[in-house]
Amino acid sequence: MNTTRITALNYTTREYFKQIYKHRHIIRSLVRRDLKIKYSQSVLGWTWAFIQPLTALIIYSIFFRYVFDFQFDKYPYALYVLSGILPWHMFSQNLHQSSGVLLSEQELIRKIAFPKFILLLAKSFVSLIELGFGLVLLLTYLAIQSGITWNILLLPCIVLINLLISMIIPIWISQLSVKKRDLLHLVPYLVNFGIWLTPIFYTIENTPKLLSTIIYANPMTGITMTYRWVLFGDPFPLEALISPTLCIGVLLLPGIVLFKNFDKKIVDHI
Amino acid sequence: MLEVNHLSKSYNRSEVLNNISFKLLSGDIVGILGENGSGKSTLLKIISGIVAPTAGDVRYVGQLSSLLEIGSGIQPDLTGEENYYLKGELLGLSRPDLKNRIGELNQFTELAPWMNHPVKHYSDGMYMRLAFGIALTLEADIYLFDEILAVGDTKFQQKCFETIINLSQKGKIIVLVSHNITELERYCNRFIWLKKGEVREQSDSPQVLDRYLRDQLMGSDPNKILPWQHASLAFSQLSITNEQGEQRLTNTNEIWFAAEFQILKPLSVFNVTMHIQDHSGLPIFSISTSTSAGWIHEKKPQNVKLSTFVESGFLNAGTYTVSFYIQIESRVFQLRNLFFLGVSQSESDTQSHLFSGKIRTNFQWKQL
Repeated sequence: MNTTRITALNYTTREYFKQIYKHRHIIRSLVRRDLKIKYSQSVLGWTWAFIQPLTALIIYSIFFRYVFDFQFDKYPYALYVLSGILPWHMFSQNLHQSSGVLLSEQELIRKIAFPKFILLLAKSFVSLIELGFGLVLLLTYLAIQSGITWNILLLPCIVLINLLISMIIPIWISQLSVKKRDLLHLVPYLVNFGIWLTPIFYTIENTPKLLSTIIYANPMTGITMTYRWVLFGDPFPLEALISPTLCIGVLLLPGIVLFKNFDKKIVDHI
Repeated sequence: MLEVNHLSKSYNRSEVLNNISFKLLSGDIVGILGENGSGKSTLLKIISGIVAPTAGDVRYVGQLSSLLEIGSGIQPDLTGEENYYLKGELLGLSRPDLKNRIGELNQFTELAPWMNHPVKHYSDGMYMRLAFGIALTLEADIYLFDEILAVGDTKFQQKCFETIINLSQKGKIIVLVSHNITELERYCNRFIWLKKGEVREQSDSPQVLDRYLRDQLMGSDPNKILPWQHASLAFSQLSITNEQGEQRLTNTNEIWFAAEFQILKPLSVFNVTMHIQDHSGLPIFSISTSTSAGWIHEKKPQNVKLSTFVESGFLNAGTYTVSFYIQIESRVFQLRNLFFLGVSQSESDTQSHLFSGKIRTNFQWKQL
């Protein structure tokens, strides 16, 4: 039988990942719970996972195409929008769900011992599954429209990077908002502004210089453009990938380390 | 085996636990007692790994299952069965494993027809049965229960305790936190008394419970309440002795009570009633002046000395409290838990095993 030892010491990084692995079943049941509560308590059930991106697609496409008269002719505009909405949806879902997860799951934190990073992981898995539904929709459309190329094998890589980027802000906000909640109030603004600072509906070539610099600084720009490189053979967005790379190196990894060191103290503050 | 070594915990520099150490062996049913704020819950939370200690450590072998509050982690939107799986999985059990054991849960909770309904439609009693059932059905080596035995009907409580004893016979460690001293006394083989974050006493003998109660009820000193002063009356003294005037009381002694009052103003009604309660506050019997022969309840200013006694062999060994209700005119003043009464087992008493309960009578059977 295994011996457990509980001390005041912080986890080492190795220990922390070991603990996360050991408690991986929690991720599974949290994801199952979230999906069940979200989808199995509605008449349409899983159909909602498709309806959400579809309605967004239809509304935005109609607006840009017919109201703003936006010109786009490389491939169907709907595909262009969809390939932007899906990664963005994962990003905003994580932002919404994970940023306050240490507070929204405080009942669990007070009752069960586990590494709290699992809560963030569980939320990202939910968003990952939803992205999966969206991608099925997109790939079906693409297959009918123009066929799928071998590039699709790169899709899992970009999905993973998309996921990592989506976790960065929640990792910081979740731990910083345990004591004071100010940062949580920023989340809706980040989502509302962010969607316009990402080339989801427009193309980056048509934007003024100053604005395009800001758009390039947004890591989701690189992500969106990489999806389009993989899916539609758009040019490889080398410039746009600088920001996501920096974000992962400078914000994600230190964020995880800080989170790990804060882990045992979280329960004392909620 | 569960070992706690020099455990301390402080929040914002205020100390909640200070240098706690103890060791539990398999088969132990341990009662942790202490007043509110003594650190019991924090201790259990540290043992379950939910709260990190400030210093010291906890070691244990095997799996730990804790039910720190009724309904912990139960999701109202999910069904009883889904909740069972969720909780089981959170504790690291596999789904097939849980599936095998669901019959056991249903047998324990008697909730089988309800298992497919959302928990939010459960009554409080069903909710509690589910929570407790889940905690007990999930196989572990150490079980922690915090203040959960006070709820539920008697039948279900009985069932819980039977299960707890079964678990202990299988070599599991059970840690109970409860304010119900009677229950602790009945089921635990070890007691740890926490006071202000420190282990005040730990022992295998239930006498800890008596000392804990005395401390609880009296604030250690009965003279804090006496003398009791009122505009028209002072209650200056109460003494409790055996028939020889000694402090030591056993169940074969007479127990003598002597109370002294000073009446300061003329009173049209003055009555004194003494209530004897057991340690859980359950009334055992009362002795009142208003039903005493020859008592005149109109009093001029004077000193009044009252005395009464309980026959030998009437009160069984145990811990009791003495309360006085004093009636002055139409008002009744309640002086609760004035005195702590410890009656010990007399060595000359060989028949105590024949008598259960708090009092012993000599009612007889007659063969017809």
